[in-house]
Parts: sequence; C-alpha cells; structure tokens
Amino acid sequence: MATPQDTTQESAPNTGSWRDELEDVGFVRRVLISRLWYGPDWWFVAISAVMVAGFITLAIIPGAFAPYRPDVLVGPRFLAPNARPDLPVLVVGGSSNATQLRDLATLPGGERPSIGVLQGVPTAGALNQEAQSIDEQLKTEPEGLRLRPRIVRFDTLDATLQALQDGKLTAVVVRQLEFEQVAKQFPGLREGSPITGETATAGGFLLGTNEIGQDVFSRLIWGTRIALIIGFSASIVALLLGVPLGLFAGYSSGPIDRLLSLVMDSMYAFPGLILAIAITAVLGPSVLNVIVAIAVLYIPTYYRIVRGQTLAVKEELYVDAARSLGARSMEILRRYIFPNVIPSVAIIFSVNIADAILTGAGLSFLGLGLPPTIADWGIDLARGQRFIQTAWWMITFPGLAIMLVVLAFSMMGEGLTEIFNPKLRER
Amino acid sequence: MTDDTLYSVRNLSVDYTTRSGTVRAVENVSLDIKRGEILGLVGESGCGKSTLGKALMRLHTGPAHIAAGELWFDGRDLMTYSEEEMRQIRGAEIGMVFQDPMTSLNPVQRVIDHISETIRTHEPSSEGMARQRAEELFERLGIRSERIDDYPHQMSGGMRQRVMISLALALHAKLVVADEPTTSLDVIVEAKFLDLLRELREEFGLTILLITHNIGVVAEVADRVAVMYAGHMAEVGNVEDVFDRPLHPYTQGLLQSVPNISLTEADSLYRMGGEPPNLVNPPSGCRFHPRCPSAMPICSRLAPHLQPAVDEHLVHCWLYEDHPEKEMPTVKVEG
Amino acid sequence: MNLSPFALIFVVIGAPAFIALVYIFVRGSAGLRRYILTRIVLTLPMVFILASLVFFVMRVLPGDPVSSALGPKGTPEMIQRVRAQLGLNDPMIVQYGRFLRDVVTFNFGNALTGGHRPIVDEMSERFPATLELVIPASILALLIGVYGGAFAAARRKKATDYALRLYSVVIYSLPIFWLGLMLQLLFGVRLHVLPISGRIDAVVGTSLKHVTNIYSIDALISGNWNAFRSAGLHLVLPTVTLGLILSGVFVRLTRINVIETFQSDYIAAARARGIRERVLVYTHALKNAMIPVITLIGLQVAILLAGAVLTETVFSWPGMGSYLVERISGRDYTAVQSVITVFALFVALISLAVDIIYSLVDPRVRY
Repeated sequence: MATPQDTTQESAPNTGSWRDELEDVGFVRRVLISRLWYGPDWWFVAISAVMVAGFITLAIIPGAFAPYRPDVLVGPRFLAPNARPDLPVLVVGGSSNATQLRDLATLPGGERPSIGVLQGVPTAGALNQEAQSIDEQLKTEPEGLRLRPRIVRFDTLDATLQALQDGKLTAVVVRQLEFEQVAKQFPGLREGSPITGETATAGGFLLGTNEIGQDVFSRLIWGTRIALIIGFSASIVALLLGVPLGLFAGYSSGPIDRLLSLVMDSMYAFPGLILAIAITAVLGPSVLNVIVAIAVLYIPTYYRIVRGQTLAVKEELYVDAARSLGARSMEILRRYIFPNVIPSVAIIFSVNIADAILTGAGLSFLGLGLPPTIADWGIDLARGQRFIQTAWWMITFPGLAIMLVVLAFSMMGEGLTEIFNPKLRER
Repeated sequence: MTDDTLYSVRNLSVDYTTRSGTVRAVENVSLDIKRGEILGLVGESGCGKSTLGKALMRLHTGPAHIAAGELWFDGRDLMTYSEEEMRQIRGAEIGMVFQDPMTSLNPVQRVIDHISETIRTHEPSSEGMARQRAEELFERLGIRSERIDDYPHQMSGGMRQRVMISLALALHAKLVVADEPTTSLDVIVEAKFLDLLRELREEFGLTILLITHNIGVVAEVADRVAVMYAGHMAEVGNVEDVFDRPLHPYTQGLLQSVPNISLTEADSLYRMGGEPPNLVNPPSGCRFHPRCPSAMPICSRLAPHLQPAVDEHLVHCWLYEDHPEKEMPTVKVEG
Repeated sequence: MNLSPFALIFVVIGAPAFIALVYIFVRGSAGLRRYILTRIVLTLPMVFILASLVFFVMRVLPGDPVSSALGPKGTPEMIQRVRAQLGLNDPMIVQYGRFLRDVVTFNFGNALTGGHRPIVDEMSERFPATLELVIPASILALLIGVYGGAFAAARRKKATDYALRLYSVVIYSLPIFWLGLMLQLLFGVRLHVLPISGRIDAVVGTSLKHVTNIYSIDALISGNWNAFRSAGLHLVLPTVTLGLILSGVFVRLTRINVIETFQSDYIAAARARGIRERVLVYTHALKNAMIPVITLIGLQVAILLAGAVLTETVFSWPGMGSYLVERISGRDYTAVQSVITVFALFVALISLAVDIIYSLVDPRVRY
C-alpha cells in the first residue's frame, strides 16, 4: 500500500525553490521570459525603453549625430529639407584647370585674375571675403603666391558667362543652380567648387534650415540635451522634495499633515503651466529657473500619491504587528512603507519627465523661461510660427521631436502601470 | 432522468485558460439535484465547487468556458440554449445568491430598484407594480418597509444577505444556487440565515444547492451532500449516510479534521497530509492519490468512476469499484 | 446700456447655478446639506491660499515693477508718483489687506502699460472669448473620451482596445501648440479651408453687435448670419485642437474605470439575474465608473486652462490666456496678478461644482 511519502509527483512546488531558480537565471533571460507573461504590455515598455535609451544617448553626445553645431549659421536661409543650397561656385573656361578659388592665385607682379559677378547680388561680397581670407593665408606660405582678383560686374548672367567664354575673364562666380540652368548654352565652361562653406555643405541639410541659416536637423539633435536636462532635473527635484513630505504627512497624520495637504491640494488643482509661467516671470529666464518652476509644479503629485500609499500601508495588519513588536517609526517607514511606495513613484517619475518636457517646451514656446541663445525645440517652434506660410519644415520637425520624446516616456509609464497594477488584468 | 430530478449534470468539464496553461477546474463531473431538496456541495477552496455552481446557469465569462458535458434542467439541455435564451432563464428560473452581499449589490442603486429592475427585465410590468411586488417580498423576508429605499451600504450584513435572497426569489425561481452565502456572516446571523432557507424551501417549494466549505452548515441544513476534490466529485449521498459512514478517504480525512469538543489535551488534532494539487498539472488518474492513505498503484494510472457503493450513496474511488487490474480486492459496503 | 459682458456672463451662469444649489439644499437630506456646506466652506481657504500665493510671489520680484514697466521714459519723479499711486510704498501688511479687499470687490485697477485701461474692462472682453473656446472643447473632449473609453473597455484585449490606448497615449504626448500649428498648416495653409487666427473676419466683425462678447451667441441673437458663419469657422480649429488633446485623458480614465467596474461582483450578480449585457455596460458599469471620472473632470479644468493659454497663443485668439502671456511679456504685473487671481477663482468654483455633482451621483458620500 502506497504511503504519502512515496508520492510519484510533487503536488505543489516548494515555496522557496522557484524563486531561487529565478535568481539563477540571468537578468536578460528573465526579461525575455517576462515577455510571455505580460504580453503586449511588455512590448510597450520594451519599445519605449529603447527609445528612451536612444534619446539619452543623443542628449549625452549630440556632436556624434549632428552634422553641425546648432548655433552656427551654416547655410542659406529657408532651405527646404534636403534641398541643395544654391551656393556661389567658381566657373572657368574649358582650358583652365582651376577648380577652387585658391587655384587662381598668382605671383605678385603677375597678371591679376579677373572674376566676373552679377551686379547687385551678394555673391560679390562673398567673393571678396573669401578672396581676402585666402590671401591672408597665402601670405604665410612660402610659395609667395597672392590672390588679388579684379572684380568685374555685369548686368545679366548671359553677359557674364559670355565674357568668360570669350576669354575676357579668368573666371566667373555665380550661384550653382543658376549656372546649371543655363550651362547647356555655354558648352565651353566648366563648373568648379563652391567658393564658400564647402565643408559646411558636406553634411547637407537633411531637414532644411531656419530663417537665419541654422541647420534644423542639428538643432533637433542638440535640443534633446536641454529637453532631457530639464525633464530629469525637474522630476528629480520634485521627487526629492515630494516623496519625503508625503511619507511624513501620511505617517504622522497630524495638524501638519492637514495644513500641508491643504496647500498641496490647492497647488495641484491649479493649472500647472500658469503657475510655471508666473514663477519664471518672477525669477527671470534661465535654465535653472525653469527647472525650479517645473519642479514646484510636480511636488504635489508625488506628495499626494506617496501620502495616500503611506496611509494605506499604515493601516495594514503587518504594520500593526511590527509596531506591537516594538519597531521604531523610522524602521517601519524604511522596511514596510517605503518599498510599497517605490513602484508608484517609479511610474510617476517616468510620466513626470514626459510632462516636464512638455511644460518646458510650452514655456519656451511662449517666449518665457529659456534664454533665446539655447537650442530648444519650443523656441524653434515659436520662431517657425512666423514663417508658417513659407517654411513648413521649421515647425514640423521640432514638434515631432517633442512628441517622440514625450511619447517614449509616457509609454514607459503606461506600460509600467499595467505591469505593476495587476488588479486590472483578467481574472 | 427521473421526474423528481430537477437538474441533472452529466459529465461536465470546465476549463480556464490562463497564462500558465489550461486549467481543468471541473473534470467529468455528474450530479443530480432532486426537486425540493437542499443539496450541500462541499470541498476545499479551489476544488471547483463555485465553478460548478456558476456552470449551472452558464455564467462563465472570459477565460472560463464549459469544455464538455450536458446540463439537463427540468428536461431541457441548457447546453443547446443560446445566450439570449440563457439570459431569460437566469434570475427567472435559476437564481443565485452570492458570497459577499456588500460587493454583490450595486452601490449606486437603491435596494428596491435591484428587485424591480429584475422583475421588469423578465416580465412586462409597470414600475409601480414591480415595486409593489418587491415590497411584499421584502416584507416576507423580514426587511422593514422603511428600509426599502436604502442604498446597500446603509444596511447591515445580514439584511444585505436577505436582499440577495429576495433577488433570487423575485421571479419564483425553481432552483437557487447559494455560493458560500454564510462565509461573510457571523455565527448568529448565519444561524438565522439557515433557518430562513429552510422556511423558504417549505413555503416556495425551492430547490437549493448550497455551496460551502463549512461542513457544519451542511450537516445542519442539507438533505444530501456532495463532496468535491480538485475538480472531481468524490462522494455523494444522504447527509446521515455520508457523515456516519464516509467512504471516500478524502471525506474521511475531512470529517476527522473537524475539531471535536470531546478531544482531551492528550489527543492531537488530525491533519491531512499534503497540499491541494496544482490544477495546471494535476495528478494523473485519481487526483487525490498523492495524499491518499489507501492509494494503490492503479489510482495513479486510471481515474475511477462515480458509482453507487450502496443504495444511493455514490463514491468515486477504486476501493469500491471493480477493475481487472486492481491489486487489492474491492471493499463491499453493507446497506 | 453698457452692461459689462463680464457681469452678464456671471449672472447668466451664476443665477441658474445658484437656484439649483438652493433647490438641492432644500430638497436634499441632512447628509447632503452638511456635505454641501462643508465643501463651500473648504473652498474659501483654497482661494485664499492661491490668491495670497499670487500676491507674495509678485512682491518677491527682484527689481521694481513700476520702473521696468515705464521703461527708459520713466523719470525718477514719475516712478515715485506711480508707486505712491499704487500704494507700493506702504508696509506689506497694509498692501496685503488692500489686495484682499480688492479681490473681493473685483477691483483690479488699471493696466500698468499699454493704455492704462481698467483691467476689468479688458477682462470683460477676454473672458468671454476664452469661454467660447473652452466650453465646446470640453464637450468635444468628453464625448470622444467617455464613449471612446467605454468602447475600448467593452472590447478589451482586442485590436480596437489597443488602438484606442495608443491613441490616448499619443494624444497625451502631443504638444498642444504643435497640434495647433499642424492643423493650421494643413487646413489653413495647404488646403485653405479654415481660418487660422483671430475670432472673426475683420470686415464682418465690424457689423456685429456685442452683447455677451461671445461672438457666436451675439451673432445668433442679432440674426447676423455672416458673422455667425465667420465666428463659427474661426472657432473650428482652436476648439478641435483643445478638445482632441483633452480627450486623450478622458479616454484613458474612462477605459480604466469601466474595466475595473466591469469586473466587480455586482456586475456578475446582475448578469446572474438575467440583466442584458448592454444594460450592464452602459448603465450599471458606466454609472459607477463615472464617479471617479467626475472627480477627475474637476482636475482636468487645470489642464483645460493651461491648454487654453497655449491654444490662444497659437491661434491669436484674444482670450484670457493670451492676455496673460502678453501682459507678462509687457511686465505688467498688476494685470498678471489680476488674471491669475481670476483663474484661481475659476478653478475653485469649478472644483466646488464638481464636488457637489459628485455627491449627487455617489450616495455613499453623503450618508
């Protein structure tokens, strides 16, 4: 007759063993296994985590991704996305083998090169500038070459190019696209290199340029830095202030709790952006002030949630039990209440960052908060609004960037909520 | 199916789909409920008794569904009914009383509206008439007329439970399934509740399926008892027969576990060994075999059948069933 | 008769609200009465705190508001004179007392810059504009939100549910000013079908008689269909912008609450009585689910006002929000102080109204 000890099958797992097994499995495997458990919500969190990591990378090393610096005027104004800038190029006769402006340098005393330009356009000025800087550089070099062109102005493009074709000029400097339009009519002429900013155009302007010639794409990448700085800093400050206050208020439940709650509830009910506007208006435009203003906005959120959770946990039987065994308040807070509070705080933190970035962008859109010298998406949107009729790319891309960053953090918060709040799952 | 059988469950299996796999909460269970009787359905938590109760009116939603079986209610197989036809049966012919009356009542609906809404859902009736019928019912159940417009949270636990019963009776249901109705009540209220059940059975000709884990309640008020374990029906019979002479080893262990007031200090309390099985991966054959003191090798290979051991006392155990491969002889029970 | 539109709106909204309140009070039970009184009494501290916060924040500024408002034109004598006029040299306590008195009597003083108009007059033009924007937007948001949320909850774990969840997360992440700009780009610049700034076409606007300063209503009253059409068209893009953004929050809230409610025991119990599924979702579950949503509607007012500020800026809509931004850039601190106080009052009143409605819906609160 079989006895209970001879069971052929474990009827229930040993309570400790599966936990130990889980610990042995590496973190990566655990993450992958949890995918089966949590289903689509796992994807929510996973995708958003990847996005967040990507944005953080952009914020830390923007230079590695952005072709230009955000504040430099690297290109022509109002260039549409991926359009070729209409730069002034050197055009020479078929017999000449010069390609760059530099190639036209001659020995002092020799014949000065004559370069034709169109009357009344800025190309002449650009040519002068370039020639001068090349000349300065040549002075330091041993060959003794100098570049002192004679600039000849013409009324029409045709006349200019005709003169070159006829051999009356050494070279002509005209806009690239202009030349290419009529190039067929002047078969003897050859297009050389642009005379200005060649290195600048090497990267191209993926998303166009804004109204003063800055690269939109670079500003987008560099803007990540300020957005994330504001987002993280404001959230961390709010957390550091709100969580302890909430713990304290929830645990002590005295008159201080009531007073604090009244203040916090009033702040919480009031429109956040407007409060932030008021604070930055008073303190003045600077990054630090924006961080402070937004942090103040979110302290009540942390306070309320943490206080609520503290109150709930405080009523639990195991806290009573601990207290009856002589545990001190700090210990109870640390060992029972605080760990229960952490999941909610984590969720709020990630949603908080999303919100802080939105509020910060809103503030700079309104022209309050950040000094205008910083590359920021909100500021770019405000600038772009004036040119909505002509330069659609100035408002489309910065806003898209804001949305993607905020989306990443909100998705993470949303996914974490579903994972940490299992009561919403199907029984 | 004979005429005195109100409900006949045949080979019912109910599955739950969970993330860990499919759980067969009720396997191949057959049960007859006789007209006018109070049948107690007992077992540990998780043995499938609530699932069985809900299956009687096909109340399962979401991950739970009936995998196989027949449900013969009053000569009709409910498995062939559409959802709309089932809806018409629920509340009107089969009623249910739930465990926790606080959460089972709509907090924003007045108590009397619960009943009048039910009446008007099933029968064409004016607001006034429905309300009047509700009032009469409440009076019969001992709820004072000045309380009928209250909200659930304004009533005591015992009163709420009476409201639950009246909901089940509002349309003169033939069968009332009471799912752990006294678990949330204290002992005195529970006693009153059981008295009320008996009275109502007499007066309205009710048939009651009383689902509970409390054997004492069953002993006091039921005519017959059915014992479930891990989704299987272990033993069914008259209360006196089963309690005086439990045949299934599980029932024996169960009854032995009840503390007896005549125990002395020297006696120790009986504890049944082992733990209830994990139903995702249940034990093979008879699900009780890992804990059974009388287990034989055949028990882990094949599941027995629910058969009469003597008269109307049915048992689901190899001890009492013949099989060519059995190693031990069959126990014969005298009548 | 120059009835300030400000006062007019106040009366039109306030009178029925007051009557309703009295009715509820008289017909309600003792518990309800007690609850309402408590809520009214508790609202006062909130307004008090916010108004005081405004006062002190404004006084904490480094630098002198008057001299920065007057700019380089201000001679020291002028500055002193204006300061004395505004009572800025008095001790803080006296200033505070005067401030509180002014708040209660709605005496906001004159703008420091830009014409020195009485602020109340400016607000009486701006406030109706904001109302005209905010009310339709809220209704739109509620409709999309509540029905979208219930719809998603009813189809949980299916494609529609995830699509709606994605919708609400995306909408939540959209900067409202960017949405406005994109709508302007699409419908105003590319398709040329809708106007992108202002409240009404300038030419048509001159023919409109201003009564309430809510242009669409005024046009309706005076039968001026041109004006009505123009005002309506101008209203479309800003309302859609604000309403869409707000709807995301409501979809999410309603969905979660309906799901949670739907898993309750009383829903199962009702199903066991044969109540129809549709009745269960849209009556029993939704009614219970709306209770927490109502409280949150009150909090959404905050988001609504913040959104209004940004929307008005994008669409050059002359409401309270854009007024605030203009006055801040112009360093007109008297006006800024007044605007924020009015906002605080608005929020407090809405909170109070929501609490009272909440007590009517959830009987557990009053007994």
